[in-house]
Amino acid sequence: MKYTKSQSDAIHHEGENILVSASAGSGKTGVLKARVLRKLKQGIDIDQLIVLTFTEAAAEEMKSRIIDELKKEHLNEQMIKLDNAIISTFDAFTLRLVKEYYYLLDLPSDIGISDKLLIEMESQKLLDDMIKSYYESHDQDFEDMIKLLFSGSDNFLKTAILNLSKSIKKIPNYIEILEHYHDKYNQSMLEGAYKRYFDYIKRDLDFIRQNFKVYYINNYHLYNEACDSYLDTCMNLYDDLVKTDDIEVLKRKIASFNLPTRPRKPRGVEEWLHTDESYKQVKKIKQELESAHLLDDSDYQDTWLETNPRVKVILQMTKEYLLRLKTIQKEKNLYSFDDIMAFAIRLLEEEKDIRTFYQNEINEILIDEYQDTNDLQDYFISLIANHNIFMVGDVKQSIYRFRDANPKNFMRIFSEYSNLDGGKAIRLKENFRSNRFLLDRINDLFLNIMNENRGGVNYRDNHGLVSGFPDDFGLNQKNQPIHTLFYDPKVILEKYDHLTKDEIEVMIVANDIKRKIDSRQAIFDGNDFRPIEYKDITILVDRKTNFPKYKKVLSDYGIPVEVYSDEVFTESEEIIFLYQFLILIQCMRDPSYYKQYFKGAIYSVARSFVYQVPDSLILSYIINDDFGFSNLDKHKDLKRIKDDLTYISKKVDLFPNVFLIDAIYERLNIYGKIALLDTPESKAKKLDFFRDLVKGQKEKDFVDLIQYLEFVNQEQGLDIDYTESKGQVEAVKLMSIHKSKGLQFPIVYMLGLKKQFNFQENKDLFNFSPDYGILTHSYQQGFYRNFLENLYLRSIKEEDDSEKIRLLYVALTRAKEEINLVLEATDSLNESKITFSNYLEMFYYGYQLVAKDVITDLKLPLIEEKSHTKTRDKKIEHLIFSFNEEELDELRYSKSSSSFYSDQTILNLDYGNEIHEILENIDFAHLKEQVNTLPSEIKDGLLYLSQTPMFQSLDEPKYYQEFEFMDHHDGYLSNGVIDLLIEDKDKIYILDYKLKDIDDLSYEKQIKGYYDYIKKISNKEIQGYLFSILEKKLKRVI
Amino acid sequence: MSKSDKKTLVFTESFAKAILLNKQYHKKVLSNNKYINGLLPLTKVKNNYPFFIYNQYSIEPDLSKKILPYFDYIDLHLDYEDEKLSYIKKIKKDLIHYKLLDEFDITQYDSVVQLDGAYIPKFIHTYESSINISTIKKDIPLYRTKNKEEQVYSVFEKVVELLNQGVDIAHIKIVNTQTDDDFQLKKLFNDAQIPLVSLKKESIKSFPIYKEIKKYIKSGSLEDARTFIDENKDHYSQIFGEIINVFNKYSDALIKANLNVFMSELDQITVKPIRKKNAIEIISIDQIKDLSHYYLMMNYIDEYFPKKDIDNDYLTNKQKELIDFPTSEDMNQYRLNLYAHLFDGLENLYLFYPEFLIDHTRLSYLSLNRDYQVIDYNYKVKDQSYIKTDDFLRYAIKKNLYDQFHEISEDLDILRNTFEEGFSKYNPQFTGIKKDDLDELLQRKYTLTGAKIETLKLCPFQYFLQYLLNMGDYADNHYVYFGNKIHKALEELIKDPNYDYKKMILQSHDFPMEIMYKKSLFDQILIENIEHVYAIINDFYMNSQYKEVITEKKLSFKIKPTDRFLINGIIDKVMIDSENHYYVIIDYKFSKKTFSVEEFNKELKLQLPFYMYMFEKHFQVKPSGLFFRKTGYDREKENTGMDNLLNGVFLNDREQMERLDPSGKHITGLRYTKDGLYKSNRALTEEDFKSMSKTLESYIYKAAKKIETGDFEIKPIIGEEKNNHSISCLYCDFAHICYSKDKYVKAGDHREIY
Repeated sequence: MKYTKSQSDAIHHEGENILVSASAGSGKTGVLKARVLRKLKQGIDIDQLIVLTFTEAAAEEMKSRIIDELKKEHLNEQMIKLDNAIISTFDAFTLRLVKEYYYLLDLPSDIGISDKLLIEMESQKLLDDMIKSYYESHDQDFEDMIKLLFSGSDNFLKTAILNLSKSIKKIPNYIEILEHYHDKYNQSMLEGAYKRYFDYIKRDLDFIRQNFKVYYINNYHLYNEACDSYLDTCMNLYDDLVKTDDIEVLKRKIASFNLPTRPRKPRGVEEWLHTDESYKQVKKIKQELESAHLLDDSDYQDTWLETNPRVKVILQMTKEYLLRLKTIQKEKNLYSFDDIMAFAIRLLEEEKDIRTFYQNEINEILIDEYQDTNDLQDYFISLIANHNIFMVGDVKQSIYRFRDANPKNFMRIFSEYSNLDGGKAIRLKENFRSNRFLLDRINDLFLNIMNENRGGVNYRDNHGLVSGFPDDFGLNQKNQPIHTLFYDPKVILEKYDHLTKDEIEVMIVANDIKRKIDSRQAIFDGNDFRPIEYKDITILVDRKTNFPKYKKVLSDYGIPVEVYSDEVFTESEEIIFLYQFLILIQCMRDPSYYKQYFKGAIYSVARSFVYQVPDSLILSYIINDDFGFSNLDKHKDLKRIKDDLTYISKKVDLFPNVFLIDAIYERLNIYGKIALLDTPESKAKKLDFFRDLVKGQKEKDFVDLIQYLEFVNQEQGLDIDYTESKGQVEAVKLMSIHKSKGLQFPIVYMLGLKKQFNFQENKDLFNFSPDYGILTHSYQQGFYRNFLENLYLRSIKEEDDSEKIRLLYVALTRAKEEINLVLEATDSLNESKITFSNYLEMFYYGYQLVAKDVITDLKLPLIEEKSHTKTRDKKIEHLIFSFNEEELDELRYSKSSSSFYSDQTILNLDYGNEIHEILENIDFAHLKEQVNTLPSEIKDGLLYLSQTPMFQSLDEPKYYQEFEFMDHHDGYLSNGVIDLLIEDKDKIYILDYKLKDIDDLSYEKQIKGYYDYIKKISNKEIQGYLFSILEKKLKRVI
Repeated sequence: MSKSDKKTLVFTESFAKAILLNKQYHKKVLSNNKYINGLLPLTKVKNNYPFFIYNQYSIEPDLSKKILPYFDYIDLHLDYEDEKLSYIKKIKKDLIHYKLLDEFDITQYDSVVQLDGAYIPKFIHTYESSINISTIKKDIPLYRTKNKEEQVYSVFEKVVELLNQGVDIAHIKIVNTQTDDDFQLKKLFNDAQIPLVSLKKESIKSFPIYKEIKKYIKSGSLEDARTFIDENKDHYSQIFGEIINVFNKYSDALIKANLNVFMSELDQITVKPIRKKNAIEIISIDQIKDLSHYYLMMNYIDEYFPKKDIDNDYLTNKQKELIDFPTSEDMNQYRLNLYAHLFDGLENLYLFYPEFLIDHTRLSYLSLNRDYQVIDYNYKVKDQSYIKTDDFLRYAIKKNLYDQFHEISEDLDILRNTFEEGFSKYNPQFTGIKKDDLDELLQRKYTLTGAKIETLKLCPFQYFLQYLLNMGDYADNHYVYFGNKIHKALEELIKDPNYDYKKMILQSHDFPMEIMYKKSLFDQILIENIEHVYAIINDFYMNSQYKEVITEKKLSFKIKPTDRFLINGIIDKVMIDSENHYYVIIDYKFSKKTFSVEEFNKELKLQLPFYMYMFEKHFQVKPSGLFFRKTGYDREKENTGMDNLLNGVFLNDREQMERLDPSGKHITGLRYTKDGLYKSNRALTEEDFKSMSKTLESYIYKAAKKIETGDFEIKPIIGEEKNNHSISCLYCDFAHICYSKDKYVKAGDHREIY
């Protein structure tokens, strides 16, 4: 492969930290691989490298490529070392580290990642306990807080504690922050924040002023003098607004800001000066300040101080929660990846040796998708790095805020390295994915909407996409790569008032797809052109809410569609059924359960796809019988259920839960039954998964399983973590933009662009900011959002808005040839905004769109009957095997204990073992020479033995000690060890040592077993003996 | 002269030992061999080793086990610079001192043999090699499948083929399976009724009974634990036998002094499954014992076979090298050689190789002396098949693929021919109720209210379950308590402004038991709440001309004598303008609730019009407003001053409305203008009210007809999603009975009504 200059640089540069900023489609992962291989070829061992990827799939792929290369280069030694190499995700690496040094962290050796729902369950239980104890304590601050914030339930408290815990755990050493909270979050923090807040305000005002200036220029000299003078006055007022640096002056100016009245439109004039948005925006700022009590006489510090008692309570509770949760997690061995990361950090912080080992032994740490790392990962790396980090990523594609990704780390490093501070920054610009006209159009958009405040990078600053292909490459056939499908919902809704906007949009898409397929639009597949197929098309949406609706509409048009989204795990028929069936089992065992759940559960199970009992029959039972398990017998169809329950419930308590699930699956023929449902393949996978899940839950009994399912079913928004693996089908793909990251598609559609962005953080009562601490509304005859909250929300809103822009960047750069946008026709969105509230605004502003060819009517789907003609008449002949399955009675030679020994017996046994070991090493051929060195009891025993007639009669004995053999028994093998076997000229003696008690019948059985074996391999006479060494007794048993 | 036969120490893996012993059995020879696995510790420690280590060095039992193998390699005569090594040396010394460790003495053996390339510790220098597995001269069949699922089918089919060839079922072993393979195999073999047993051991931790035992031990009561085991041991001797064995290793005193060490010993127990005659066995590679058996080796890929060690032991590879202990790399290389040797000698070995990794899957790297005979395997439905359930499911899957994506596969025809007739999709639609049963239910209780008709509209089946079968869960909660208390207080305060509602609340006994600890605080909140709301309500009343007030008005009657149903309702509050003969209805709600004509027209939100309808049947006055009033006090919204306003519809008549609310401050959406009222869809004409009443009556009879004909179909209103759920299903508790949450359900084909 030929590399570009910057790619080559990224592969070969050495000697310092390197950050590669790589645009979409620029082959960044390829560069990372090439770099690894280059190093291997130069003699670096693979286990001297740490390669960290964002997904397991990426790690697997990386490993696989490296193996290929090692094989090709015959680097066999590296192949062996590869097993040991760290090519994995951050999570896998930290887990490995923690597992290796578990004993230094006081953790169990089998530490692993638990089902997060189990942790959640414990967390909820803990919260309930804790909150209860606070109520019981009658703590004044707590009671005051509840009185003030009461909204019906304790949910706000739980949410606050959980939110805070979650945010604060993102900081390394968070316990310390909690302990010394007030050292950081104090008056001086407040003063700084106050200034920063007004910096934001000033920045907004400046933006507003600039917007007005555009308006001013566009309108000046267009109408009459009065207008121009109005514009002049306004312009002066806006200029004046931003002139001051004094906060108090600024506040006064905002408070008194007013524009003169706009000149009236003279009669007969059509075009006239329209209103501009700037004034409204200033008013909005004024409102914000007013409601934060910054424009009245109150002191900004008081608003903060007023929240302190509540903050104190929440802080105290959060601290307690975190500490107690830790204890519970340890006790129950329940850990998440976040916990593991915290352990790994602690390990490296506390164990200098380990840290130095990594710092010294590792040649380079290579990290893919660096923009997606979070603060903890960033810190973790800093602990093991030694000017040897190689990072690749693209800040424009950072879309994992919800997973705590912090692209600012990437930006900070990039800016430092760009200034040659601490490392080298390399930029990869050439795109090897998309049509170059498409790249131009994507650049056009982001040049207008992406800058440092919005998106995180200034797109103008050399971030544009450049085609890496030569000009004559086959892709350049499309010079109109972005298609806009404008529609007018009002007109369409007049005709089809039963439709929603979402349905209209997806119908537009469906019609367009049909048109493309029918016209056999040409697609370039890398080598040649071919007609488009459904699988070339992907519909990208920023949220999954409407997927079922979209799918239905597309299917109505006969378009096959594969949806990349999972239904709620616990809401599909087979899982509901299993849960209800398990409840019925529990009803058999627990009367209170029976009372509460039986009626619903029996109705559910009976009418399910498994039993299919008609409603009328079940209802007759429920309504008329004194219902209960015994009366199920009265109805043939219901009796089946009872029989099954009875059969299966016998397995409860004794066997692991998974045995129970197996028994249910088998007895009810559940895999045969799901064939009767929609999407049977998904259901089969889910059943498999559910079984695995139950199997994986260690140390859980039946009640635990029921409680687990109950918990998942009751808690809103929680679900069993499951993603179905997708096969390849010939269908249009429907997926979220998040899901599309890293993928590419020939044709992309985007719809739902008018949907307002959600801004979750806004709604929480308590928030935590690493900069400002715990934030909550102030109270003064009602709640208001204080400036600190505003400041925090502004900063995270900015990040949120930035991510929305980046998400759009990801979406558009997925396309190789063509992007189709479904846009509502409007003429009011071309103006610049402080923040965009949906994608429609971004497109209108970014492209300065003017709606044309507006769609005002729709072609409705024609439902066609599909038919399939048979070609063969053959049927399957079903056969079955019939084996006589019975338990195998395995031959055992030693007596396994089925009862407890007394302490005395245990002592004896220990002693017996010792004697056995001594006897094992006795050379019977030279017994006399040896016995004197032995303890007296043994010596006496052996001397006695040597005097017995049996020993005396030996002629040419051969001694076999601890004679091991393998016998064949009914076709099965069994192992045995004989203490002493003596082979004489015509006899064989079997001898088993016992301490005493040689009269036990099971011992004789044991000797008989030995005898049976020897008999098979020898024609000599065989005698069997038990020898009690302490009692000095030799007893012949055979 | 008597003599001992030559004593030989044989280093061997268990399969090689088994093969050797097997040979000796067939050749009828006796030998004086001592067999040992070189990877296991040669030195022996006493039973109480983990207890000692824990007490002496605070080393947890897990770690003490990890340290054990190093002792053989630690030379007491050497000084180790490395901290860890010198630490281990110190431990070893102590162990010897306390007679807990016997150093291995090689001199007692006359010779040392390495069998079939087994591992020999590097400190043993002289030994001879012996080989008892010789290379078979035939290629090994290698089945290459496109994924793991197909691999299972290929193994299954191979087994069927072998069985049909007459191979003894007890001689067929499946090796190197992953957990998910075991389960998939089990499914197929069950389907075909071929017995299959996995010999993989199960951790004792999976057995619920163990949890019980642990509980006893944790509480320090060993006797109770023993009694419990004695009482139960006959049920599952496998588990209890193992537990008893561990108990029998240590004295009570030792156990009691170190409960955690003992429990950790118990935790290590693995339970052997029950073996069966006439069953295929799933075994691990180390359970191979007979060269002539049939071995179906799954997952013959680099990632899964042989198992690989990584450098994450207590000692690092570097430290291991210092004492000649095998490094992870040594181990990995060793296994490659070992298994290659074994595979060379297995006569009936079949390898299976699934391609399933992202890039491409690789074969295991064993350098065999035999070649592979590669067979590309593709599962196809067979004309003669043993797996009926699986075929049936496959048919359903292929049919679905065809219906959804128009995908036609080769198997589809034969599957369709086989199953078409018996196949009908399950339809969860309600199939009806017998007339007698319905009559019985209606006789028990048959009343209609606004809420009930609303529910019927949301989903008839939901109505049926909730109101006729009484299935809902009506747990007491503090919302009910709050609601009751506020109602009661407001009702009494109207009659007597000095009513002592505080006393009523503080002395009440209906606070939910399970949160009794909240009562005192919640009562304070409640009292404050009432104060706040009452002030607003009182202000409204004082300024209003609607001076006649009726509260908690219970109404219950038949509209027509022939009706089977009663209509029922309790109206919170009616205020009457006796002068002009107008009235308004007010319903208290703890949380905010809105009412609009649009919602009413969708047959939702019927409560207020229902009250109006009932009220008018008894009183000759005209409606001028239907309102909800939120009675909960939400401090967060306090400063808006809007939270507790009346919310609903009112008469579009400025004069009359000014008699109700002269300030216009108490009703949402009410604004006076010069000409009358500010235009709003909340303002209705008298005609509108009349028509609403009429419509409501039609709703009632429509509902009654549906109910009386037993038409309780599952028909949720889909399409108006809220939180991803249809509005019908959002608060419905019966998803587990209807199996149709948020879904359209086909109409029933054969609904049984009467």
